[in-house]
Amino acid sequence: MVRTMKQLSVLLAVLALMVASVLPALAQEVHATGLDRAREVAAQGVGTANGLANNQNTTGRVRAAEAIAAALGRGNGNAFGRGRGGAIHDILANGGSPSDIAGEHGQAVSEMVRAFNELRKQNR
Amino acid sequence: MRNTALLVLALMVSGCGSITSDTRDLSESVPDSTPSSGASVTASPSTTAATSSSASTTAPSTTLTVEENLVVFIATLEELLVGTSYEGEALNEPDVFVATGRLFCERLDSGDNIDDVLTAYLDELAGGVDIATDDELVLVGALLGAAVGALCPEHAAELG
Repeated sequence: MVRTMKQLSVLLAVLALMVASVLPALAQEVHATGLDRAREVAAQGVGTANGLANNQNTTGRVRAAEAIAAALGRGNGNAFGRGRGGAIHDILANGGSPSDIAGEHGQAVSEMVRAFNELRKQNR
Repeated sequence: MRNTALLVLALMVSGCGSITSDTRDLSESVPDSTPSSGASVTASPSTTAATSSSASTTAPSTTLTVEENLVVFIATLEELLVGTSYEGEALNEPDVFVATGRLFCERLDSGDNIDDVLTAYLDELAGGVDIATDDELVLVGALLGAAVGALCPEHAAELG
Protein backbone atom coordinates (compact mmCIF):
# COMPACT_ATOMS: atom_id res chain seq x y z
CA MET A 1 0.00 0.00 0.00
CA VAL A 2 2.78 2.36 1.05
CA ARG A 3 4.75 1.35 -1.99
CA THR A 4 1.75 2.10 -4.22
CA MET A 5 1.36 5.54 -2.62
CA LYS A 6 5.02 6.26 -3.25
CA GLN A 7 4.71 5.21 -6.84
CA LEU A 8 1.64 7.40 -7.25
CA SER A 9 3.46 10.40 -5.74
CA VAL A 10 6.37 9.91 -8.08
CA LEU A 11 4.00 9.59 -11.01
CA LEU A 12 2.18 12.79 -10.01
CA ALA A 13 5.47 14.63 -9.59
CA VAL A 14 6.61 13.54 -13.04
CA LEU A 15 3.27 14.58 -14.52
CA ALA A 16 3.49 17.99 -12.81
CA LEU A 17 6.98 18.49 -14.18
CA MET A 18 5.83 17.57 -17.67
CA VAL A 19 2.89 20.00 -17.52
CA ALA A 20 5.10 22.74 -16.12
CA SER A 21 7.58 22.30 -18.93
CA VAL A 22 4.93 22.23 -21.66
CA LEU A 23 2.80 25.18 -20.53
CA PRO A 24 5.30 28.00 -21.20
CA ALA A 25 6.07 26.54 -24.61
CA LEU A 26 2.36 26.37 -25.34
CA ALA A 27 1.87 29.97 -24.23
CA GLN A 28 4.80 31.05 -26.35
CA GLU A 29 3.32 29.25 -29.32
CA VAL A 30 -0.01 31.00 -28.87
CA HIS A 31 1.85 34.30 -28.57
CA ALA A 32 3.80 33.63 -31.75
CA THR A 33 0.68 32.52 -33.58
CA GLY A 34 -1.10 35.73 -32.61
CA LEU A 35 1.78 37.90 -33.78
CA ASP A 36 2.10 35.81 -36.94
CA ARG A 37 -1.53 36.45 -37.72
CA ALA A 38 -1.13 40.21 -37.17
CA ARG A 39 2.10 40.29 -39.20
CA GLU A 40 0.44 38.40 -42.02
CA VAL A 41 -2.41 40.93 -42.20
CA ALA A 42 0.08 43.80 -41.97
CA ALA A 43 2.08 42.50 -44.93
CA GLN A 44 -1.15 42.07 -46.85
CA GLY A 45 -2.05 45.64 -45.90
CA VAL A 46 1.07 47.08 -47.49
CA GLY A 47 0.22 45.29 -50.73
CA THR A 48 -3.38 46.49 -50.59
CA ALA A 49 -2.29 50.07 -49.94
CA ASN A 50 0.12 49.98 -52.88
CA GLY A 51 -2.61 48.63 -55.12
CA LEU A 52 -5.08 51.28 -54.04
CA ALA A 53 -2.48 54.03 -54.40
CA ASN A 54 -2.07 53.09 -58.06
CA ASN A 55 -5.78 52.77 -58.77
CA GLN A 56 -7.62 56.00 -58.12
CA ASN A 57 -11.09 55.07 -59.23
CA THR A 58 -11.93 52.22 -56.91
CA THR A 59 -15.14 52.31 -54.92
CA GLY A 60 -13.12 51.93 -51.74
CA ARG A 61 -11.14 55.07 -52.42
CA VAL A 62 -14.23 57.07 -53.30
CA ARG A 63 -15.94 55.97 -50.09
CA ALA A 64 -12.81 56.71 -48.06
CA ALA A 65 -12.54 60.18 -49.60
CA GLU A 66 -16.19 60.85 -48.78
CA ALA A 67 -15.70 59.66 -45.19
CA ILE A 68 -12.68 61.92 -44.75
CA ALA A 69 -14.51 64.87 -46.30
CA ALA A 70 -17.42 64.27 -43.93
CA ALA A 71 -15.08 64.13 -40.94
CA LEU A 72 -13.38 67.32 -42.07
CA GLY A 73 -16.80 68.93 -42.39
CA ARG A 74 -17.57 67.93 -38.83
CA GLY A 75 -14.16 69.23 -37.83
CA ASN A 76 -15.05 72.59 -39.27
CA GLY A 77 -18.01 72.74 -36.94
CA ASN A 78 -20.81 71.75 -39.30
CA ALA A 79 -23.49 69.90 -37.37
CA PHE A 80 -20.96 68.13 -35.26
CA GLY A 81 -22.20 67.46 -31.76
CA ARG A 82 -19.46 65.47 -30.12
CA GLY A 83 -17.23 68.27 -28.98
CA ARG A 84 -14.07 67.06 -30.64
CA GLY A 85 -14.34 68.82 -33.99
CA GLY A 86 -11.10 70.70 -33.50
CA ALA A 87 -9.22 67.50 -32.80
CA ILE A 88 -10.63 65.82 -35.89
CA HIS A 89 -9.66 68.74 -38.08
CA ASP A 90 -6.21 68.76 -36.55
CA ILE A 91 -5.72 65.06 -37.16
CA LEU A 92 -7.12 64.92 -40.66
CA ALA A 93 -6.20 68.23 -42.24
CA ASN A 94 -3.08 69.50 -40.59
CA GLY A 95 -1.19 66.33 -39.84
CA GLY A 96 -1.64 66.89 -36.14
CA SER A 97 -1.01 64.19 -33.61
CA PRO A 98 -3.20 64.97 -30.62
CA SER A 99 -2.47 63.28 -27.34
CA ASP A 100 -6.11 62.63 -26.67
CA ILE A 101 -9.26 62.01 -28.66
CA ALA A 102 -12.33 62.36 -26.55
CA GLY A 103 -15.94 61.91 -27.50
CA GLU A 104 -18.63 59.34 -27.95
CA HIS A 105 -18.01 56.27 -30.05
CA GLY A 106 -19.32 52.77 -30.52
CA GLN A 107 -17.90 50.08 -28.25
CA ALA A 108 -15.22 48.88 -30.69
CA VAL A 109 -13.93 52.37 -31.46
CA SER A 110 -14.08 53.37 -27.78
CA GLU A 111 -11.65 50.56 -27.04
CA MET A 112 -9.42 51.79 -29.86
CA VAL A 113 -9.46 55.33 -28.47
CA ARG A 114 -8.57 54.05 -25.00
CA ALA A 115 -5.73 51.94 -26.44
CA PHE A 116 -4.53 54.94 -28.46
CA ASN A 117 -4.43 57.15 -25.40
CA GLU A 118 -2.55 54.56 -23.35
CA LEU A 119 -0.06 53.97 -26.14
CA ARG A 120 0.35 57.69 -26.57
CA LYS A 121 1.26 58.08 -22.92
CA GLN A 122 4.12 55.61 -23.40
CA ASN A 123 5.56 57.83 -26.12
CA ARG A 124 5.95 60.84 -23.83
CA MET B 1 41.95 111.56 -57.27
CA ARG B 2 38.46 112.76 -56.29
CA ASN B 3 37.10 111.29 -59.51
CA THR B 4 38.66 107.93 -58.66
CA ALA B 5 37.04 107.97 -55.20
CA LEU B 6 33.66 108.76 -56.73
CA LEU B 7 34.13 105.93 -59.21
CA VAL B 8 34.93 103.48 -56.44
CA LEU B 9 31.90 104.69 -54.45
CA ALA B 10 29.64 104.28 -57.48
CA LEU B 11 30.91 100.76 -58.07
CA MET B 12 30.25 99.85 -54.43
CA VAL B 13 26.70 101.19 -54.62
CA SER B 14 25.97 99.28 -57.83
CA GLY B 15 27.37 96.13 -56.21
CA CYS B 16 24.99 96.48 -53.30
CA GLY B 17 22.15 96.84 -55.75
CA SER B 18 22.91 93.52 -57.35
CA ILE B 19 23.00 91.78 -53.98
CA THR B 20 19.60 93.24 -53.12
CA SER B 21 18.13 92.09 -56.37
CA ASP B 22 19.55 88.57 -55.90
CA THR B 23 17.95 88.32 -52.49
CA ARG B 24 14.59 89.39 -53.83
CA ASP B 25 14.79 86.88 -56.67
CA LEU B 26 15.58 84.13 -54.19
CA SER B 27 12.66 84.96 -51.94
CA GLU B 28 10.32 85.18 -54.90
CA SER B 29 11.34 81.71 -56.01
CA VAL B 30 9.99 80.16 -52.81
CA PRO B 31 6.29 80.32 -53.72
CA ASP B 32 7.11 78.83 -57.12
CA SER B 33 8.45 75.70 -55.49
CA THR B 34 5.33 75.12 -53.41
CA PRO B 35 3.00 74.03 -56.21
CA SER B 36 5.55 71.55 -57.49
CA SER B 37 5.49 69.75 -54.15
CA GLY B 38 1.75 69.35 -54.50
CA ALA B 39 1.88 68.43 -58.16
CA SER B 40 1.81 64.72 -57.50
CA VAL B 41 -1.37 65.23 -55.54
CA THR B 42 -3.26 66.92 -58.34
CA ALA B 43 -2.79 63.72 -60.29
CA SER B 44 -5.71 62.36 -58.29
CA PRO B 45 -8.70 64.44 -59.33
CA SER B 46 -11.33 62.25 -57.66
CA THR B 47 -9.76 62.69 -54.26
CA THR B 48 -9.32 66.40 -54.70
CA ALA B 49 -12.89 66.83 -55.81
CA ALA B 50 -14.29 64.84 -52.94
CA THR B 51 -12.47 66.75 -50.25
CA SER B 52 -11.70 70.17 -51.64
CA SER B 53 -14.73 72.02 -50.29
CA SER B 54 -13.67 71.90 -46.68
CA ALA B 55 -9.98 71.18 -47.00
CA SER B 56 -9.00 74.01 -49.28
CA THR B 57 -9.78 76.61 -46.63
CA THR B 58 -6.48 76.00 -44.84
CA ALA B 59 -3.13 75.16 -46.47
CA PRO B 60 -4.18 73.70 -49.83
CA SER B 61 -1.06 71.98 -51.12
CA THR B 62 -0.03 70.46 -47.79
CA THR B 63 -3.59 69.41 -46.99
CA LEU B 64 -4.09 67.68 -50.31
CA THR B 65 -0.85 65.77 -49.95
CA VAL B 66 -1.93 64.48 -46.57
CA GLU B 67 -5.42 63.64 -47.75
CA GLU B 68 -4.17 61.57 -50.65
CA ASN B 69 -2.34 59.33 -48.22
CA LEU B 70 -5.28 59.27 -45.86
CA VAL B 71 -7.70 58.15 -48.56
CA VAL B 72 -5.46 55.20 -49.37
CA PHE B 73 -5.02 54.50 -45.65
CA ILE B 74 -8.75 54.43 -44.90
CA ALA B 75 -9.63 52.52 -48.08
CA THR B 76 -6.99 49.91 -47.23
CA LEU B 77 -8.36 49.48 -43.73
CA GLU B 78 -11.89 49.10 -44.98
CA GLU B 79 -10.81 46.39 -47.36
CA LEU B 80 -8.81 44.50 -44.72
CA LEU B 81 -11.45 44.73 -42.02
CA VAL B 82 -14.32 43.27 -44.06
CA GLY B 83 -15.96 40.48 -42.10
CA THR B 84 -14.62 41.62 -38.72
CA SER B 85 -16.43 43.49 -35.98
CA TYR B 86 -14.50 46.59 -37.13
CA GLU B 87 -15.97 46.60 -40.64
CA GLY B 88 -17.26 50.08 -41.49
CA GLU B 89 -15.66 51.75 -38.48
CA ALA B 90 -12.80 53.33 -40.46
CA LEU B 91 -15.41 55.12 -42.54
CA ASN B 92 -17.46 56.12 -39.49
CA GLU B 93 -14.52 57.37 -37.41
CA PRO B 94 -11.57 57.96 -39.75
CA ASP B 95 -9.87 60.32 -37.31
CA VAL B 96 -9.42 57.60 -34.70
CA PHE B 97 -7.88 55.24 -37.24
CA VAL B 98 -5.67 57.97 -38.72
CA ALA B 99 -4.40 59.01 -35.29
CA THR B 100 -3.60 55.40 -34.45
CA GLY B 101 -1.88 54.82 -37.79
CA ARG B 102 0.27 57.91 -37.30
CA LEU B 103 1.13 56.78 -33.80
CA PHE B 104 2.29 53.44 -35.17
CA CYS B 105 4.51 55.29 -37.66
CA GLU B 106 5.90 57.45 -34.86
CA ARG B 107 6.85 54.36 -32.90
CA LEU B 108 8.54 52.82 -35.92
CA ASP B 109 10.36 56.12 -36.52
CA SER B 110 11.57 56.09 -32.94
CA GLY B 111 13.17 52.67 -33.35
CA ASP B 112 10.47 50.18 -32.33
CA ASN B 113 10.30 47.12 -34.56
CA ILE B 114 7.13 45.64 -36.02
CA ASP B 115 6.59 43.17 -33.17
CA ASP B 116 7.10 45.91 -30.56
CA VAL B 117 4.32 47.98 -32.12
CA LEU B 118 1.94 45.05 -32.56
CA THR B 119 2.52 43.81 -29.01
CA ALA B 120 2.25 47.24 -27.39
CA TYR B 121 -1.06 48.00 -29.09
CA LEU B 122 -2.53 44.56 -28.41
CA ASP B 123 -1.50 44.89 -24.75
CA GLU B 124 -3.57 48.06 -24.50
CA LEU B 125 -6.46 47.00 -26.72
CA ALA B 126 -6.95 43.39 -25.68
CA GLY B 127 -4.85 42.91 -22.57
CA GLY B 128 -2.17 40.95 -24.40
CA VAL B 129 -1.37 39.10 -27.60
CA ASP B 130 -2.24 35.74 -26.05
CA ILE B 131 -5.83 36.65 -25.28
CA ALA B 132 -6.53 38.87 -28.28
CA THR B 133 -9.41 37.79 -30.48
CA ASP B 134 -8.87 37.15 -34.16
CA ASP B 135 -10.68 40.40 -34.98
CA GLU B 136 -8.27 42.31 -32.74
CA LEU B 137 -5.27 40.61 -34.36
CA VAL B 138 -6.63 41.51 -37.79
CA LEU B 139 -7.29 45.09 -36.65
CA VAL B 140 -3.78 45.69 -35.38
CA GLY B 141 -2.27 44.03 -38.44
CA ALA B 142 -4.50 46.08 -40.73
CA LEU B 143 -3.64 49.29 -38.92
CA LEU B 144 0.06 48.61 -39.16
CA GLY B 145 -0.04 47.46 -42.78
CA ALA B 146 -2.20 50.36 -43.91
CA ALA B 147 -0.06 52.82 -41.95
CA VAL B 148 3.19 51.53 -43.43
CA GLY B 149 1.71 51.28 -46.91
CA ALA B 150 0.11 54.72 -46.96
CA LEU B 151 1.60 56.91 -44.21
CA CYS B 152 5.19 55.78 -43.62
CA PRO B 153 6.28 53.62 -46.58
CA GLU B 154 9.91 54.01 -45.56
CA HIS B 155 9.24 51.15 -43.10
CA ALA B 156 7.83 48.76 -45.71
CA ALA B 157 10.98 46.65 -45.83
CA GLU B 158 10.59 45.84 -42.14
CA LEU B 159 7.38 43.97 -42.91
CA GLY B 160 9.19 41.70 -45.32
